[in-house]
Amino acid sequence: MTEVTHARRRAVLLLICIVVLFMAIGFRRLGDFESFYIAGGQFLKRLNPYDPQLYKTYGSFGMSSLPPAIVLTCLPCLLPLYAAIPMWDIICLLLWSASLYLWAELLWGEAVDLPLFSRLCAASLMAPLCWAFGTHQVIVPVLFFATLACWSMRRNNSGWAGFATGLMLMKPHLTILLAGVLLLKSKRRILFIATLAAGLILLYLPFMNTIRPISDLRAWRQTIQRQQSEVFYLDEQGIAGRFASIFPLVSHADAKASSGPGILIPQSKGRLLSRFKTVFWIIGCGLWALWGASRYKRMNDLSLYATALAWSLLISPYSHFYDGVMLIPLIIMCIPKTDRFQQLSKPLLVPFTFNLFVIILVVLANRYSFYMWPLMGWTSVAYCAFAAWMVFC
Amino acid sequence: MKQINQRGQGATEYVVILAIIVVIAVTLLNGPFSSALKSQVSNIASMIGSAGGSGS
Repeated sequence: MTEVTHARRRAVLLLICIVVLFMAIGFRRLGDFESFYIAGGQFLKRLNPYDPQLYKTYGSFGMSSLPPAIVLTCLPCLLPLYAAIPMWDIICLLLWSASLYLWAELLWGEAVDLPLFSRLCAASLMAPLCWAFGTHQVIVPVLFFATLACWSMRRNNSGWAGFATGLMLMKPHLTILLAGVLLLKSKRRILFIATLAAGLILLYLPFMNTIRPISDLRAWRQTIQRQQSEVFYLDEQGIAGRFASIFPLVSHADAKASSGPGILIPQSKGRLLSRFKTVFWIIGCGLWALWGASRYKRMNDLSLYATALAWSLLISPYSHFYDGVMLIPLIIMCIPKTDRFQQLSKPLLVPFTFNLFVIILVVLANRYSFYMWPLMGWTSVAYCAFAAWMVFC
Repeated sequence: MKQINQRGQGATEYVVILAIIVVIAVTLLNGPFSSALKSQVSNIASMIGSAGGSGS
């Protein structure tokens, strides 16, 4: 048997293992999909998905996701819950694979073969990605739309780039900087803006007095305001949230008793924290503008896109562990271009081992939540530090 | 020399595969994941079913 056949076999085995891992992590676990399922079911019945009464049973203030997340997840909600969750996971799996393939094509300018693709999948097997499958979140589609926007822009197709940008703005706090960079890079800006608006309208249209009245969003706003002023999330990825976690916002006993990442805090502290995060975000955007302006012409387009996503995450006022998926482009960028990841062991065993450690803790989260959530909180900072070390050292 | 490199690379891939299998085993053996799922599912079903009055 030739070495090529062996390599293909190993690749298939590796891919099967990765798929089984994602399915195992999400298996018989509702995660955040319960709120999407309730919202989707309501939306399909033309009822208000933001009614806070619906979510009271789960100790939640209400539905905090924007309308695009509900529109996107309503299709699997046509199925019974047991079928809807695997269906959503399979959709996410396909979108994640497509994202990796497109990034590889962007990086190396050619179609990737199966062994290389499998190694790329292993390299991007981040703990936040596993958690995204465990919680059945909508971050993987956002990564796909962001990738599609970058891929279309590289091909000078401003129309599709704008449309994909509109779709990726379903999580605006994580993608707004990339949208700005893409707008500046676009050669046909009017077309880009027009298609961006079309993408946004497409996702918001059902809540523009068509299927549902726009007044539904008042409940969404109230939920967000309550979350911002009354809850502190231990897995907050933004640097402002990390600063806040160092200070004793919550008592040791409350944090230990909590089974999830959200801990109730006094409103006075919550409002102060919210203002601090907003100011930090504004300063972060300003610093990005200054840094981006100095590097705009010297820096490779793809590096600028990947950095914009990482920067958005680090200055974000509201992001969870699974949002670390947006760092995948940055991690892929760190793969040496010369040997195209032929040496699996060399640069990637460090993050892979770290990942493995976090993933094992993630699956044991129910038992070790007190140690787990803060570790999750520092993950994106650790990945970015690793990426900076790879680039500068 | 090239063959040795490829063999080494294959060994690393098998290590990665083994590591993933260990994580899968830990995930599936970790019981609390499925606890109270049935009651949660029935709660959700009743929640959606009884939500007729909240459409305004």
